[in-house]
Amino acid sequence: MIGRSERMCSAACLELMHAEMVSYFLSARETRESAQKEMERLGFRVGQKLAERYTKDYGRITEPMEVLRFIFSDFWPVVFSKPPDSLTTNNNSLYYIEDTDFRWTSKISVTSRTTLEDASYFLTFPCGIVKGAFAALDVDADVKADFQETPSRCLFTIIFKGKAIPTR
Amino acid sequence: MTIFNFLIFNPSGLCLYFKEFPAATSSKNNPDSWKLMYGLLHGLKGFSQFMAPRPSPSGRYLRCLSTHEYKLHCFETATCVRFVISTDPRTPDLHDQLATIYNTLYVEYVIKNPLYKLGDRIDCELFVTRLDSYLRSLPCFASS
Amino acid sequence: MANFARSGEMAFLKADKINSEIFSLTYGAMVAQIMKDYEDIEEVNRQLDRMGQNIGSRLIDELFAKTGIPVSSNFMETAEVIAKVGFKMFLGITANVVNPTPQQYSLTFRDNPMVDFVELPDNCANLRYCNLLCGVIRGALEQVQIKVECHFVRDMLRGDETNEIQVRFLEQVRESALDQSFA
Repeated sequence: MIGRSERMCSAACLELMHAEMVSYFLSARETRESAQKEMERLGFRVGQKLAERYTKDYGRITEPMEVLRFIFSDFWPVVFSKPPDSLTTNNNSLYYIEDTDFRWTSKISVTSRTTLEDASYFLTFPCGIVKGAFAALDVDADVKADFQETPSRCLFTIIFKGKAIPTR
Repeated sequence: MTIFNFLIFNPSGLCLYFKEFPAATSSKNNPDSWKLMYGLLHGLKGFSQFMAPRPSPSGRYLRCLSTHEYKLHCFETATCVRFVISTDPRTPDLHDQLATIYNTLYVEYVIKNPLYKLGDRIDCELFVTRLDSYLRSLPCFASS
Repeated sequence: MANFARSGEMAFLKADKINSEIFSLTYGAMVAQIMKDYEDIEEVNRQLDRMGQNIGSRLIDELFAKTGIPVSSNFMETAEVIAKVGFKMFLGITANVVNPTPQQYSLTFRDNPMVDFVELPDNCANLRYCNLLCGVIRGALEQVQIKVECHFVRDMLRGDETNEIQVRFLEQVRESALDQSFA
């Protein structure tokens, strides 16, 4: 088990606060791109801090593959409330984490006034969290997240930068 | 037994959602009908409160209105949102089913959907599809 | 009153929960960003309050849906509901109701997961870090037709020995004139 405090609060609080954050940035920034950039940066910092805390008593993880496994099986279930569904690779430094019921976006559905693009801004902050977690463990990775048809099905693409990671 | 239609009203009497089933031969799919229905519900709420021999501990009064031809089942939330379903008169009380719709569908897929703006007409895909399959799963729907 | 405490505990037990540090770190990052955006600290407080109001107006339905507690539009009774049900089911803590009157009451609490890991920088003496909570209370009560004014009067982040939120009754909004005709 990863080293985390047992203090809990309701998931609804986080969901609604996240929604307010997204709407704050979308209205406070001139372009949607800059709003996204800032949300990702915020998520990055939160992910970094969380990963640092969670690995405090975990022993050293240094190999990128170990880090990836840590994120997939330890970090993800805690931060995103359930284990992801699958981890796959194209064998060329691209890895995919699929979560078919991603809790941070699973209650979102488009309305007649909104599109899937409006929903996609709710992936930016979580995406930053994952990126920040990799960075905290000294792995330089780029992370992108996309919906698979509906906002509850998400595919996170992890691109390792620098040298390619040998796979088994 | 049969379901005719299903509606959600917000506190100011706006119809947020309307769904009509094939069994309804005379359509209520127009703002005038909704206004009429809301006025009736609202008046009945005051009336049932007025007639009550003692204050209701739940704070709720009106459950259903039954005639020879139809029965209106109502559920009002603490936030004054009204869920209404109209069925044939033999259908047993659907108050609990309306509460379930509020608890598990409305709160989860409307209120917690950040793309939905409070007070707008409800057209969130997840809510609409889940509501439809829930209503179709009710015993009173089977024979309609 | 004991009932409210129990409803709150049951709802918290059953709720989908997350580690509170995810919540507090996310909130902290957001507050820090808003502080960068606005030079005027009062404007930061207002933004937090406004966000809280939006959250409260949705959270209130979650509270009623998950607890099934009876409908009440009595201002004094809302104190216990917020302190024992709302605080418990959402933050996992309880607050005490102090000096309730039909016009005003205070909610005090010492434990608060929102401020875990928070150290305020020196340049923000007037920041109400948890002002979001005031907005949440205001927004939630608005949905049950009660208008209030709500603010922090004591704040442990600023050296007070407890946190105290004061809630002042403004008006009860009637659904419409139709109600009155039978009352």
